[in-house]
Amino acid sequence: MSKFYSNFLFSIAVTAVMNALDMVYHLATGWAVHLNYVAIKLTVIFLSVWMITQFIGIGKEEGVVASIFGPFMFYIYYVFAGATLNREMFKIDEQFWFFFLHAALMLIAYFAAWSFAKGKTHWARTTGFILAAGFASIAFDALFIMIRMRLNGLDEETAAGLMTLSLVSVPVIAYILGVIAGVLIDRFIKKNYLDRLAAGIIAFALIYLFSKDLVHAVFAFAFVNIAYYIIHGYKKGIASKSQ
Amino acid sequence: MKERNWLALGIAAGIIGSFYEFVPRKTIKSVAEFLLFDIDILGHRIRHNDLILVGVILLIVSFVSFYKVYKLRKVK
Repeated sequence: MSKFYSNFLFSIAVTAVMNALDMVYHLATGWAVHLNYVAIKLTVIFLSVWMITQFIGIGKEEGVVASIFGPFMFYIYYVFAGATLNREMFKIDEQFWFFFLHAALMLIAYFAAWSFAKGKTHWARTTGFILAAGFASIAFDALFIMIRMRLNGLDEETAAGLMTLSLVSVPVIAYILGVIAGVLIDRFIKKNYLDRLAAGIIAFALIYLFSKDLVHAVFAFAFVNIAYYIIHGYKKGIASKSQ
Repeated sequence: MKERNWLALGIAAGIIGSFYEFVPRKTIKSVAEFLLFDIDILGHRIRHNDLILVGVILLIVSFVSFYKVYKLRKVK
C-alpha cells in the first residue's frame, strides 16, 4: 500500500470521527448541524490532517499540532466568511469557545485513529478501533441523512431544523453496538471478514427495525464496511511503513 | 523538496492566502476587479465565501510548509 493512500485513509478516518463527535455534541445541546457548514468543516479539517500527515508524518506531536491548527483554521473561516444561514433561527458554532471544543474532539479523533494503528496495549487498540469505526460510520450516516434531505428538495433552514438528536440516536446506538459485536466476534472467532459482516448486519437490522427504512438500512451496512476498510487500510499502511 | 523551496512555498501561499482571507472585498476590488474571480466554474458562481475558503486552504499550505522547514532544521 502506498504512503499516499494510507495517509489519505488515515486523514479521512480522523476527519470523519471528529465531525461525528462534533455533530452528536451539537445535536445533543441544541446547536444547528447544517450540510454546507459540515462540508466546509470536513474540507478544512481533512486538508489540515492530510497535509500534516503526508508532508510531516503521523505521531504524538503531529497529532497535537493538527488538533490545534485544524479547528483554528475553521474558526478563521467562520470569522471572515459571510453568513448564509439565518442566525435568528439557528445557533451556529461560531463563538471562540467552540475552538477549544473542536480541538478537544479532534484530539480524541486523532488519538483514537492513531492508537488503533500504533497502540502498545490491546486495550488501547480496541478502544481506538471502536471509537474510530463507530464514529466514522456515524459521520457517513449523518452525511447520508443530510444529503437525502437536500435531494428531497428541503431548503437549508428546514433541513437544519429537522436534523435533531432523535433523528441520529438510533444510528448512533446501532453503529456502536455493531462495532462492539464485531470486535467480540473477532476476538473469539477470528475469521476473516466475519467481524465486519456481523457489525454491518447488526447496524442494518437495528436501523431497519426502528426506522422501517430499507434504503437507510442498506446504506448503514455499506457505511460500516467502508469504515472497516478505511481503518484496516491505514493500519496496514502505517504498519508496513514502520517495518 | 529542499528546505529553501518549502520556505518559498510557505511565504507565497501565506501572502496570497492572507490577501484573500483578511483583506476586505472592497479593497480587493479597488486593487483590481479581476482578482475577485467574478466568474462561473461548472455552473457555480464564485462567491465571496469561496474566496475565503481558498484563502484558508492557502494558509493551511503555508503553515504546513513552515512546519516542514522547522522539522527539516530540527533534523540537521
